[in-house]
Amino acid sequence: MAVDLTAAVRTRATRPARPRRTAPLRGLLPLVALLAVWELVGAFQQSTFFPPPSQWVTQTATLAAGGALFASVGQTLVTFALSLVIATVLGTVLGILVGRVSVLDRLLGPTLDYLRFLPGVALVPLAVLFMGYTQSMELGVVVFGAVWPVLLQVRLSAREIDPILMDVRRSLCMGPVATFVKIILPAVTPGIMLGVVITAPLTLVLALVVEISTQVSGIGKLLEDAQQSFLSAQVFGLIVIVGVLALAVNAVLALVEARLLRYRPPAE
Amino acid sequence: MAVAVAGRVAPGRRLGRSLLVGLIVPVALVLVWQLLKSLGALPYQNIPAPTDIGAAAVQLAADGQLGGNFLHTLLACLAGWALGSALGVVLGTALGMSRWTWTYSMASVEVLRAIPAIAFIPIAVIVLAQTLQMEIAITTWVSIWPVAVSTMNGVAGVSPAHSELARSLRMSRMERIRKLALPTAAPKILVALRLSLSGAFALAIVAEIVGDPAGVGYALVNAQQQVRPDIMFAYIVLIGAAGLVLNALITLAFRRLAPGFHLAQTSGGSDGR
Repeated sequence: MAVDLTAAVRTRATRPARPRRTAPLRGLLPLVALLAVWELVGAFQQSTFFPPPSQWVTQTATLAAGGALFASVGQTLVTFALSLVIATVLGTVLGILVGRVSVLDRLLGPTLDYLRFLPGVALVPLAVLFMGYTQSMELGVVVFGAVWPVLLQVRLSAREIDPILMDVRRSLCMGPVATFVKIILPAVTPGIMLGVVITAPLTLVLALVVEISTQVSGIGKLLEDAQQSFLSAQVFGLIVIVGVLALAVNAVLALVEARLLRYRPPAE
Repeated sequence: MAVAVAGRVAPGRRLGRSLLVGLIVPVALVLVWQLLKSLGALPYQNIPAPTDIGAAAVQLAADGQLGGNFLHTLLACLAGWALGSALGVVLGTALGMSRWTWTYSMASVEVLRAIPAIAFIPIAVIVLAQTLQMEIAITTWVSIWPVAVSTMNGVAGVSPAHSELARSLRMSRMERIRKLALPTAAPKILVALRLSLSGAFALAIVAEIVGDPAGVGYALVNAQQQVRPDIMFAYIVLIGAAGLVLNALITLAFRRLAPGFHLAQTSGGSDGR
């Protein structure tokens, strides 16, 4: 019996692929019910830790009225977008280098493995010491954490470039620029896209981490301010806003993934 | 330069040799760093020499701070990881086994797991104050979701033939979960466990930087406030090593538990080796 089952585990190809993908909206019922009960209980019993959702709205609205909320969301999104672009470019360049030059791969492989398991968060205090509470510090830390998925995916697809294509390059006497534009870049584009899809949610998380732990700017700073003034309703309101941002990023990515990676299996 | 020749070398020796080649760059970097520092050619005053970093690490290890802080962080990380993963397996099994449960709660799960766990640290600090429990609450929360989703996908992958077999054998629900669903889902669960472990480790450190004044996260902040870059570098180097060791241990454990199953192959290309 047991042998039979492990065999079933290995024959993955025979399994129906992803039977269900998008969850129906009915599934939101438990969450809505929870919030409703929360609101009801909150109407009868005042709680400092778990204020009812109606108070989340009123307390967050005061932030929105002062304009601080939109400015902060904007700052967070700018950090997110800039870091994503830098991490993508950097990851692509490094990924192609280690993917194509095997000496470099062997020389740098263990170092890259080490750096990739180093939680980027740990660099925040060090980055603050050297770069101060600045936007370049924020970008530096976020990019350090966000670059790995792109780098690894690009390395993988750069390694797998068909050798025949590289022979074509030689027969056509292509220069380095032509090789890059006509062979390497098209070959690694799926890797770049997959890397971006994996790294984008991570980038948002890292941006929040840096904002919360340094309180330089953005929605993370608002969260930390609210915590320090024990405004739990405002914290909950901001958590909802963070959730909406994250869901928006996911939705955009799902669209991008569906359009651009149609011929590749989706990332797990 | 001893560049390893690919091909007919014993796997053990090959690994040793590739590791040796990989050490060239870090060792050279450290040497150059030390040399520049000794010559006084480094632009920043604050950057400590590698020997200073080593001395700081030895000092911290000798007075027990290092071990104590790492113990605290690893406790928060592992306790939350174990608890969250167990909850994740239960939740994922429920979602994967019952169509009804999935229809009426999956969207809620999607919403909750989309919210970055870090956003919950402020509320955890308000409710649970600056305690180890607060850290464990956060590491638990972050571990639940990857495990739940992978378990769900894995459980849903039970082949129709096996389901039919279970039906003809009149297996009870518990039996089907134990003998069919979980073994089928095991490879995916293992991958998720590795993912959630590194998440829990990172979140434990964030929780210590922001909330709980204990562990390596706080040690980093403390060193920053005292302007002791040597201590900071020592901690960062060792945090990286701890992350690497955690990952190696879990990979090793899985190889023991599930021989013949290669984690790297199913990890969604996160590792090219």
